[in-house]
Parts: sequence; structure tokens; C-alpha cells
Amino acid sequence: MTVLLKEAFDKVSKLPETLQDEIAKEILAELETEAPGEKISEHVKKLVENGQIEDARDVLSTIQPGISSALDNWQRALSIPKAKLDKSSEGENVKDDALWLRDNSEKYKGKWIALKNGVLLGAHNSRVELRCSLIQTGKLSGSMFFRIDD
Amino acid sequence: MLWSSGCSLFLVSSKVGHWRLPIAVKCRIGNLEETELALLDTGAEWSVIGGETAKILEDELNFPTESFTMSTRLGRISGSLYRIIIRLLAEENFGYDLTVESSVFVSREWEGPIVLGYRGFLERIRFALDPGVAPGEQIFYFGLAE
Repeated sequence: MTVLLKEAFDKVSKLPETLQDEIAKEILAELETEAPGEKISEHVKKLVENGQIEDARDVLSTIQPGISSALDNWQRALSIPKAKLDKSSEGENVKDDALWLRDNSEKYKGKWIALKNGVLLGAHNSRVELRCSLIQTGKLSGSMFFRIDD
Repeated sequence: MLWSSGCSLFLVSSKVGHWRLPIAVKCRIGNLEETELALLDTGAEWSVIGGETAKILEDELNFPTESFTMSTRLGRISGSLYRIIIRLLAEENFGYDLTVESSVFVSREWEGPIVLGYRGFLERIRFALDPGVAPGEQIFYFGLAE
């Protein structure tokens, strides 16, 4: 893209000023063909960085899917979230975990710990390692992980 | 509450690692089996995941947006938006869980807690916080916005 831009600049700068605008438009159109959607994607990124999410959504709503993977990913990420109800409830009582933390945190400073219903399932310096050990012992499901401050 | 489909206790000023979370709620991220305690932050533009949770989720992260930077309370960080399932957990006999196909900013540079923010998550659910009258009675209600 940088090489193409440099070529475009060189071409335009050699022409009389009156023709530059017209030629520049043609070159931009060529660039767009070479890298479809790139400028739009860059524009959407700037809008998102500025917190103008609705504006970014408006821009993307006018774009057909499939122009570029970058634009497709922006469309997917900025689409409205979809919520649905599950016919189950898997929450454990967090109150017991909070009580355990209040009474026992001191002994596990700097470690990750896993609790379930106020019962300690394991502790380790690394969350990844703790997770692996809980998978091996079949205790992972429904456990809650906490990092104790050191 | 009529609009609420489920509820659970939330924690106030709970310490998670180096961070004290003013309001912490329970959720599950992606296909992970463990429950996470996340900061509920209506002032956050995006939900944010970083650190070891992002590492564990790596296999589930597909179709990222271009990397961009975002201002946070810990400074500017760069990352990408991903579509990730987040499940708000209701306590047993207190309604049903709510599953949200969410957009989440994932950044290896983020060292803070999991954040549940407005865009891509809270913007399409109804929720309320009941502070209760005694410690331990705080209830987080949630339901579909439709």
C-alpha cells in the first residue's frame, strides 16, 4: 500500500495542477481496487478509537459483506449483542466464597485459588497450572478463580 | 421484578488480585467451565479481558478486528474486538442464566480484572442493582431487553 501511494504521489506531482485533482481521483479508485475496503476499515477503526460506535455501525450498515475480511470482522464485532435465556441456573452462592476469602486470604498471598461454595479446591502461582490440575481431578466445573494480592 | 429473568448476589468492594472491584458479578466466559468474578462497569466503553484469562481463551478467539488502542484507567492499551459468549449466572431457584453473544476487547496488555462494559454487552440487557438493607443482601437482577 505504501509503495502504491508513493507511485500515486509521483505520478500526480509531475502533472499540471489543473489535472492533478482529476488524476488523483482515478488513482484513488485504482488503489481501492487493489485493496478493497481498506480505507473504510481504517475509517471505522478511527471512529471506534474515538468512541463513535454508532457512527461506525452506520458506516458498516451500508457495506456488503465479503468485500474484505477486515471489514467482515468489524461488522461482526460491532453488531448489536444478542441475548438469550437459558433454561437453567448454574450460579453458585458467592457469599460462601466471599466469607472464605475474608477469613483465609492471608495464607495464600500472591497465589491463584479456586473455590466452590466456600470450599478451597486448589491453589497455585499460575492460573493456567491451577486450571490444569482441576481438569485432571474433575473439579473445574463451577469453580471460581481468585488471585490473592501479595 | 417483572422484566428480570434471573438474579444473583453481587459483591461490593471485593478484592480480586491487586484490584478492588466496586461491583463484582458472576459470569462465565466462552466455553470455560469455571466461574469468573467480573467488574460491572457501566462507564466502560467495552468489556475487557486480558492476562491469563485471555491466554486460556486463546483457542476460542477468532475473527479479530484490526488492533486499536483504547484509553483505560490503567493507561492506553492495544487489542482487538472479538465476539465471545458471556453468561450471567443466576443462583439456583432464582431464575435463569442469561447468555449474551458479546463483543469484547481482548488485550494482552490489560492487567486489570475482567470488565463487563456497556458496548457489545450491557447495551442489550436490562439490569438493576438492589443494594439491600444489610451486608450480603446485594442483588444483581438481569433480563432480556427485548
